[in-house]
Amino acid sequence: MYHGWGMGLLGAVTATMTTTMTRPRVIWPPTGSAPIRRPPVEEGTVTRVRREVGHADTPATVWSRATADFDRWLSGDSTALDELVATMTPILWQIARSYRLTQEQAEDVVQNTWLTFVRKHSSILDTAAVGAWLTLTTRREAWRVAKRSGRDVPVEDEALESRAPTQRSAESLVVEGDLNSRIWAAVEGLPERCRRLVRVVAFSDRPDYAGLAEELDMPIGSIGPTRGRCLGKLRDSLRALLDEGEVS
Amino acid sequence: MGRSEEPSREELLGLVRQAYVAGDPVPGGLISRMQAAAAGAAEDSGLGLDLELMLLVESSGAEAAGVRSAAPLEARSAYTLRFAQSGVDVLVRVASDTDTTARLDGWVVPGTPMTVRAIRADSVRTPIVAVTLGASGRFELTSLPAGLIRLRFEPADGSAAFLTPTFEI
Repeated sequence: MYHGWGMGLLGAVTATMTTTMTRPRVIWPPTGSAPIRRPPVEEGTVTRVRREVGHADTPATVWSRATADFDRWLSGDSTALDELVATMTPILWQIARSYRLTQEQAEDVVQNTWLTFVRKHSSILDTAAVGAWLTLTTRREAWRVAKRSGRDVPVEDEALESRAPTQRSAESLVVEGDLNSRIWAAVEGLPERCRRLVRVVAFSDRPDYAGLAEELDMPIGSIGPTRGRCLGKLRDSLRALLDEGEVS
Repeated sequence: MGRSEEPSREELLGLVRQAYVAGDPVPGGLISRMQAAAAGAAEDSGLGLDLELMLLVESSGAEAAGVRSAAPLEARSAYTLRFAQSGVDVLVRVASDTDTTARLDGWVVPGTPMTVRAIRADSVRTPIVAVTLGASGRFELTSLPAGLIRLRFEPADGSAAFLTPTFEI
């Protein structure tokens, strides 16, 4: 049996220990990869922000950075975990907030994602999937919290046309950028189902349609067309908003 | 965005991202709080610095100058390595599977469900392949590109991972 092979091999290894050892070449310790103890993180200080916080990079770019961070962490660089957290937290924040969670709830959800990640990272066999895994974990938890706290707005129909922005008034954003405030208003003005779909999709590289279908209580086949319709609506309202603001 | 032309889907989503990043930014200090939480969890489960570095305890090579061309491919450069640390024993047999790739048959004792990753140890440092193994403790990795690698063993129960020294395949 296999067991026998193993024992025999062990014996053989011992027996041949004295023979020529040209191969394998064992390099130890590896150059330049000595683990460095991380200094204690002081509360309220941003320790490693090597990128702009809240970057609006494409999800594909962010996800491939996350993969590189995860790869380095797996190869024994313990500081790479900080970098992975810095890379993905802004995205996870946006994902969690898509579910109309309070800031506190959203922070709890994102923290839960990181704790789950540390505990279960060995289940992520393909490191290229780490961004998708983190995003999906955040979405599931956010959806659960939203349902539990009654923040999961009914989505049976799209009767919630032209709802008013609630999280932050469009006016208060004007100083930060007129275009941004108009886009914000346009997205927030979409029906709830559309609003969440658009925001989640905007911050995901490859959104998983099965999960979205479940959360939005729609057949999986309608997610694509619905997304198309939602973006169409967004285009229309954006055009209207832009026209308002221009003398043409 | 040009007035005359419709924004593409990607442009539209880019505008949405930009608006939300500006309008609902990450709260101050959130990233460092998350870094502290993740680092704390990693330390609790013995990851990070306490990663167990396995020691090479035995090795044997079957390669000799004259054998290389005459011997069957399989036997050309087959060798075995044995690593140990903290009561975990790993036996690995490395053999060529083509001219440029190698296969690796391994046995972990005691066998528990875990993920095994082969990690390139050169400047790329990319995990090239991962498999899960069950209670048998057996695993095989095939078509590994030649080069320097390390193996990383991550027990499914979340306990500390083991990392072998770098070796050549």
